[in-house]
Amino acid sequence: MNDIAVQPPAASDAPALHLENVVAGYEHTTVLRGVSLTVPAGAVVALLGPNGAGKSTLLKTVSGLIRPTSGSVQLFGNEVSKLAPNQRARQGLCHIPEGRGIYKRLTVRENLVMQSIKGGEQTAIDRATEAFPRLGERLGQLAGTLSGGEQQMLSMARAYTRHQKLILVDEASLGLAPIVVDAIFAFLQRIVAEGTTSLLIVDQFVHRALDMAQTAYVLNRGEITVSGTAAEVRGMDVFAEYMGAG
Amino acid sequence: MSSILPFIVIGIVNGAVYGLAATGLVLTYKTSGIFNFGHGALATAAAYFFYWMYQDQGWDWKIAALVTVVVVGGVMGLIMERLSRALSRQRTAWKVVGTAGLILLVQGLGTIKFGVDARKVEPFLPKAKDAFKLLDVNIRYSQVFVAAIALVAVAGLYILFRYTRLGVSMRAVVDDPDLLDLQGTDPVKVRRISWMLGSMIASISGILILTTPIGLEPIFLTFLVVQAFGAAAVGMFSSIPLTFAGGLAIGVVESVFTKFEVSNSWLVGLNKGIPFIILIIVMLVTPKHKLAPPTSAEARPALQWQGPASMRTGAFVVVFAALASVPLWADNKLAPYWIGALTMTLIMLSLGLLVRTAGIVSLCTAAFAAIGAVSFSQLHSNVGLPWLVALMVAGLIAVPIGAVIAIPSIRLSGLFLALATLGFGLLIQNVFYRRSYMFTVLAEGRKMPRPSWAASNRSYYYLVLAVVAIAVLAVSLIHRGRLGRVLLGLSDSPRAVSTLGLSVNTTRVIVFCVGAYIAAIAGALHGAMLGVADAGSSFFSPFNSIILIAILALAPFRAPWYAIFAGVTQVIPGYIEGKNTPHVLTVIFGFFAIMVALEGGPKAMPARLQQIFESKFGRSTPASRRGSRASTSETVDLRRLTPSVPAGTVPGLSVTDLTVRFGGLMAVDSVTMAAPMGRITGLIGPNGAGKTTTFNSCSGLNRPTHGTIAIHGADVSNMSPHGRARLGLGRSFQIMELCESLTVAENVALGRESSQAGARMLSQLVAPRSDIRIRDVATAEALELCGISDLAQLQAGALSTGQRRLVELARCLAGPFDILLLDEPSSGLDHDETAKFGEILRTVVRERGCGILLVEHDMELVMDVCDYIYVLDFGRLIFEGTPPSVAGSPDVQAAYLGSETAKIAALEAEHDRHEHEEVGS
Repeated sequence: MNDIAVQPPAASDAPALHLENVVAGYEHTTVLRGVSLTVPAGAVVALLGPNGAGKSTLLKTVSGLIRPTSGSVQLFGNEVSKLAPNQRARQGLCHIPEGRGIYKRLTVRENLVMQSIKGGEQTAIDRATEAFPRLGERLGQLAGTLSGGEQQMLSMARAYTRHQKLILVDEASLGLAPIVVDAIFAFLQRIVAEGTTSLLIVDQFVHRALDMAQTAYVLNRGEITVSGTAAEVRGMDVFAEYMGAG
Repeated sequence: MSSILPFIVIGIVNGAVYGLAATGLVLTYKTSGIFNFGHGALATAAAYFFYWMYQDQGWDWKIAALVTVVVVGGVMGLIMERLSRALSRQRTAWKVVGTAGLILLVQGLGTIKFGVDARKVEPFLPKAKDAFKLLDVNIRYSQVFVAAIALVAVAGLYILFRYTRLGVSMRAVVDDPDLLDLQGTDPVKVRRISWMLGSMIASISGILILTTPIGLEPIFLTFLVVQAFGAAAVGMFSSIPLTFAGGLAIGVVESVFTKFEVSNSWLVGLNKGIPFIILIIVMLVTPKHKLAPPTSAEARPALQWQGPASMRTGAFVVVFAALASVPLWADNKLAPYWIGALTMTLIMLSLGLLVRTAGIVSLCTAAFAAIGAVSFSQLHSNVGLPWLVALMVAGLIAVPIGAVIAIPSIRLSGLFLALATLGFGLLIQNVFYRRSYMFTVLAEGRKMPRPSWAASNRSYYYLVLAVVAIAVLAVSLIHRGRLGRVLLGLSDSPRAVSTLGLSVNTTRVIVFCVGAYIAAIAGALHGAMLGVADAGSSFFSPFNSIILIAILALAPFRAPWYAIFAGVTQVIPGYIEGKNTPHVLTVIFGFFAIMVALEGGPKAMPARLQQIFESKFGRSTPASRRGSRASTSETVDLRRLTPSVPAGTVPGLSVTDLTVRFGGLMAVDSVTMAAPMGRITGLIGPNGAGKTTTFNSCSGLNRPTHGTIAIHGADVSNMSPHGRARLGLGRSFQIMELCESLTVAENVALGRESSQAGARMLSQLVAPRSDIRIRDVATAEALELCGISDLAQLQAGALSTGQRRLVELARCLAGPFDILLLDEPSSGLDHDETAKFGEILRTVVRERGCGILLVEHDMELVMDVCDYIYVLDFGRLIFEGTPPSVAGSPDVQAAYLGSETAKIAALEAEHDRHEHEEVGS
């Protein structure tokens, strides 16, 4: 197997991600109303909140699918709010969107090719099939015909097919069987354990996300209402927070 | 048998070129979502460049071809990518106009440089004049060469697509451009390469077509694109091998038909109709979802401005006085220029009704004009009807044909409808124009006499002016009346007016019929101006349909002013003489049509001018103001506003044992619930729980696999959305569906008027006085109930999200609905707006006694306003009860926080909280 070039962690202490007073949304609709948030280099941060709170919008603002109307988005110490998603991706940002980030009409192999850097196609396929052997059995199959769990594995594989410095994971466990959820979390745990990758995780399984994370933020109606260490947040009644009672 | 073979050979050669052109078209359509009506224009431009380098400059053909394909094709591709990027944000009509404008641009420029006549091209392929015999058939080497080049190009494209990283990224950009972007590949770059490849392929097909006996013929080349359309349809607009095969098939069938038309006269011209027949059949039988163009966020239409009433009246007087004075000074320019301006105005009124008011792009206006002209001639000269009667009846003959064209519009989205109408126009021209019952087989065509009492140019001018005045009046009445309002609603949001109770199919049929009638009369009047109508007349050519669309696109002002403006452009060639004037005009029209399309339509009058006019003539008063002026104290029995509930039934909405399966996925599993009258019922659950599916089953947007939906006890499980609306079911949309170009009051009034108009043709055409009174009262009441009376005259497109939610609610409330389904109404609202919205909901239920089913993710709103709540998870009902019981339910908490452990953790947290009151934010 080819070795992929693993970049050393940033020499400076710049956080992997820093949002400052970000206001963002869609035409005529503001979703994020001044959000500030930090993911330290090498850390795991959980982002919690009820449906419709703006978690996906926040991740899209980080990856560049949505441009903020004001505020600052900094990746690895650099301001990126004017960069296109593909430019941010090339800096080592990996956003795994909600709802299976795969090309349904491409084969598994072709999906992995699109995840790879130029010249690293075979490495990507090798690494993905090493992490998820089931994908290896289905390389020639159309991704749209995979089971939900396999589709999610294919989508998640991008976190590992090339070295990523910051991974954003949006509702990776949504609609999956418990055993697949276990596999996905184990996979994320393994990447984080290498120590060169930071993670911002949004997941319906609040307590699993908190188990992995060092710090957590609760987003409600586009505002951060709670932030603290994972242990502190775990001690709160998050459900009440969701109901608006917090 | 052997006598067919030569035709098959010719067919394969032509078909290979069609197939090649079509693959280029499919490539760019799939990767960018922009269907290039001007694809043939690219081929034409390349053919001109090649001709110029090879024939005029005397370059070696190989160098000329290389430069044409690589440089010309490449540059055109770059330009096209820019165009398509700007067009992708615009509405479908502008996407069509923006690319169809290319046809005018290229053809106009080509004609200016090379003239209208076909030019012979010196054979350039090696051994062009030699032939060999195969199975007794003479095959020229050049034919083999052409077919081989096309085949190699398509095969190369196929290999690129299948086996290279670039090809994979081109297919990936079709599937999900955002994901490609997230993975580090710029989708714009991928599209740019696609457009360059597509244009290069178009260039190759343009050069290859020069080797056929047709030579360099501008019109033919431009419409080469329709054979490509037919081939692309065979490939379902996506498969490259199938598309190429479709091209071959079209080529062969076309050619074989040519053989048989010698002996069977009824086949004459049918060969040229083949692509359209295939195109139309494929579009009619293909499953609807396969034809759905890639969706993209579309820009809202520009805000409209209507001048003050006194100013409009004044303008009418001035304009018509000016038009009436024309015969006094126009001398010999009266016919054809000034009378032509009037017939043009008439035909623009017809087209504008379809395109500008109803938002439907039709590319067969000229065919209706032709049908009108021929019918008139037959009725007057052969049947002997009096002149005016013949004119009126000729219009009527086009009406059923208009209705037939409307049928595809029921199935097809805007883009494919435009294609189908273009195909229809060309079909009529190719197959029927030269028949004895149409323009006859004779070159002089058909006699089109003027009436004996208006034979002179001057009196005929006044006759046509009178018809135009009547048509302007009629179109103004339509715009002021119910049909105009529902058409504007249909144009902005067919989904909304349909769920409000309007049968949009009826509306589409009506507008096509009215359009056909006016266009047919325009055709008859135009023919009578000239005295003859023949198949070669530019007025009746499908090319004219495209010119008409372009002029309509760039003409400023609202109805009917744009029509008059467009009409007057027809006199320009009368005053600027020169054989190139019409072609220069074509170029100008094409260029500006593209520019206007890129901007998403003509700009409204500048605000400064608006202010000047308003200060001179007083504030503008839109017709709808009458709607809001009616006060609620007026004595209309408001109980008539809501449908009565049959005795002995359970009032409200009930869902029994609802199961919805999508393929293998069980989206909703045996859900039973009820939303009774006088109560707000909540439906909640985590993402993907099946809320939206349940909601859509209730409103009729999907069919349950099992179970029933009942409204006031009546089973509606198999009823259309507008049928349910008429039983009293109203709904809102998560992504709001307001009619952006209408005012708030007009939007709200549509809530009532859509259901009043219903499905019957007559009730869509005219509104009885009593209906209007009910509508006005209902509108005023709904505006008041939602607290937005002060917004009544603002245009919906200019409102904030919070205001738009209220307008949508008011629109439901204005309708005859007593059960409201609200889909995530709080999304996009801030805390205060949500609270205000909840308050209004409670008021509505208190005042109206209606039932509301609220599908919502905002727990605070749900807890605040609902009387009873159902909780879904994984498609199953996991809990139902009052808000406090939902908040206390461990099952619900588990569903929201996930997993069993969460349930325990939540209980622990609850326990902890009692011990340490401090914890919390």
